[in-house]
Amino acid sequence: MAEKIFDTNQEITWCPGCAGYGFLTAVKNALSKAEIAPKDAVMVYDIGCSANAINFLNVCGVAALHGRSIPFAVGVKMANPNLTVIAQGGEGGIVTEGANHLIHAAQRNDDITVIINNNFVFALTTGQASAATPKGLKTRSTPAGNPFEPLSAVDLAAVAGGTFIARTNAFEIQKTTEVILQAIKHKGFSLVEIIQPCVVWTKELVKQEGEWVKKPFGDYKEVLGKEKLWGILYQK
Amino acid sequence: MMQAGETLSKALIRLGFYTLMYPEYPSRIRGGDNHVLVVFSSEKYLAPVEKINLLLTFGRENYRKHENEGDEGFEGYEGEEIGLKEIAKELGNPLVANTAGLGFIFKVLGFELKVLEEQIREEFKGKEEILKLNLEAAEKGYEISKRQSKRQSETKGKDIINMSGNEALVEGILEGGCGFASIYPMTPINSILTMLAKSKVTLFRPEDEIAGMMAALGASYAGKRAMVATSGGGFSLMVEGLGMAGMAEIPIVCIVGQRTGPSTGMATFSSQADLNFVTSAGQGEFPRIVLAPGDIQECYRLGGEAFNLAEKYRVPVILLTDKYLSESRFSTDKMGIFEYKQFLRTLPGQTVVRANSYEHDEEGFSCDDKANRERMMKKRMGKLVGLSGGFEGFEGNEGWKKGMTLVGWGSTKEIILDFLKDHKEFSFVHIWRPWPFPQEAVEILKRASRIVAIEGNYSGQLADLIEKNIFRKVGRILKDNGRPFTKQEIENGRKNL
Repeated sequence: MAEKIFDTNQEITWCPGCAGYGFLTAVKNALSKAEIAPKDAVMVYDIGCSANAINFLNVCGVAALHGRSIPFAVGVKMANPNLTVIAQGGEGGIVTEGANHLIHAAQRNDDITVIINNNFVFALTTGQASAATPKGLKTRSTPAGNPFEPLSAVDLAAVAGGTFIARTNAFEIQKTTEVILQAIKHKGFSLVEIIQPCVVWTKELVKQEGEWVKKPFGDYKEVLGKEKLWGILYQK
Repeated sequence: MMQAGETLSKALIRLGFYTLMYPEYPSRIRGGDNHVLVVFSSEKYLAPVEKINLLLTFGRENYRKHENEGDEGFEGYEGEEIGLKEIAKELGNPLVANTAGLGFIFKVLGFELKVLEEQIREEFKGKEEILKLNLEAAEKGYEISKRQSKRQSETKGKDIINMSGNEALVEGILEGGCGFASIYPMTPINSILTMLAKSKVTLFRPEDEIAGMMAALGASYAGKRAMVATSGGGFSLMVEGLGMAGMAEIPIVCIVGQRTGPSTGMATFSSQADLNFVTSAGQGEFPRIVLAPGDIQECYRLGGEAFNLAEKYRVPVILLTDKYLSESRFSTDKMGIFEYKQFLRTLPGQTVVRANSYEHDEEGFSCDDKANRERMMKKRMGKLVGLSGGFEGFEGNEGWKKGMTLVGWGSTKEIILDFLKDHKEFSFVHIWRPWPFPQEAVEILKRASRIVAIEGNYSGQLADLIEKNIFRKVGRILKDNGRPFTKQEIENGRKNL
């Protein structure tokens, strides 16, 4: 299936150099490789920059509410299990406003894929610290540096019972494609954290170095607290 | 206690009476002042009463609480003192004290034991041992009273239906084609959850009401007729999702069982104070329908119709009940009529379908264009113009123009109809769809000489809504202590107007 089938006629409004382009390309590639027709894929978006992809990706798209893409996606999947259902959100939506939905969907092992576009900051609202902002980082809401340890979507999902846990970097399009492909094929709850720092508000974080794991760990506890490990970290 | 009240109600129905059973209980699992009021009559339409004729309690403390509620010729009994506990002890099961109590009541009322026995047999069908125990308890209880008087029972053979509001509502929900329900437990809608759990409806017990509403919207988007059920506190959390349903035009049915607020309020008591809330909840403007069934016929009919309306207009439909209507048991000789109607819409899996909480164009793409906004607002806001029906009028002897016109909404219907038995000069308008306010009712009310709204809230929310529609003052008989109106209270309220 050609990737072009997932294009729309809408103007892409992301900043030049935004990691969102990598995320969008990887999703299109993965759906194409999985041979899922646009009518059979439902992408439920949060609110934020990456969520604007509702206009850029030709699948059944739902622009939901901030923090609430996961529960909407859960309802879609329960109503029609034949659909491929992805819930998208930034770290603002997935681990800040809507962190409880992440935990409970992982606990229930709901058969959906959650993609978290982590740019470490509330970008669209002009750069305030979120629950996943690194400790010490100066943002417009923490001018003296963020006093809190960041909350990790990977750790929360792993502890709560998620059965597919992965982390990738949006600039590594091929590897991200492969991870998303495996995530949507996975039966049960899958989480893909995509590291994609903002070129405007967290540009000091753009150069990320990570270590790609060769195969998933057998024990979910192995992935906890290891934010520099990338790839499919755990699968059951 | 609820079960004993239900058994008594149904046994009285076997004798040809209409019954009302109103349970009252504190927010705790066992004990406390946990009681049921059973009213029966050969005529239909029953209201809770202030004065009772017969009292049976378990415990001296509960007896003292209720003995001053006695009417003329009142008889009061304390269960332990008349030996009910002793019977249960003899039979080796403390639970059958209730059944012994029912036997006793039946004797005091002068009815034949065998009618009660028939009812007990039906309830414990297939459970031989427990049935035998209960039959023995009923008989021993019956023998306590030495009274010989016999009361004439009504002609049997009348087909009286006895149901709680929630039971009737669930029948309607199932007939309405509901395929998905998200319900987080909350009084007074818990029995809807437990009944649907045994049905073919896909039931989701979400992590919170926010998730419940969103999951129901997801299921609706994917093609199921979907609903949530909650009370005011849970609905507060659902409001952001309600707005999304309005914007994205996703059909959804929200059952809101009112209880006494604000906040946690009185968790197990009734209220009619959420009308303003549900008609205005959510930022911005979007169309919605608010239904308020008044009896079990309407619970059934509107429980189904809510789904037809949501699908037809692609709007949120909010169905308001309250603790009194939800959990009390009522009688009727015929159910409402409901017809399932199908409405087609395109679904994911058939073609690319978008749903958007942002303003959007016809294809569902987010769009801030001003001409598009104006077009889309006009499209959405125009959907319900011309919606007909929504009320039932009962014209009194003196006609609409001359006599007083009472107006109520929701669960006051039967109470007011009972009151009207002694006031045939009054007219009555029962509003079962407070929003959009029924336009034909406006025409009637504009002609009425004097209008009095009867409502279970502090300020008179329906009265305000009527005033806005007819540009005239509306009198108010209000009550806001968590309990349903009694006939006497309406009478007093009318005198004090």
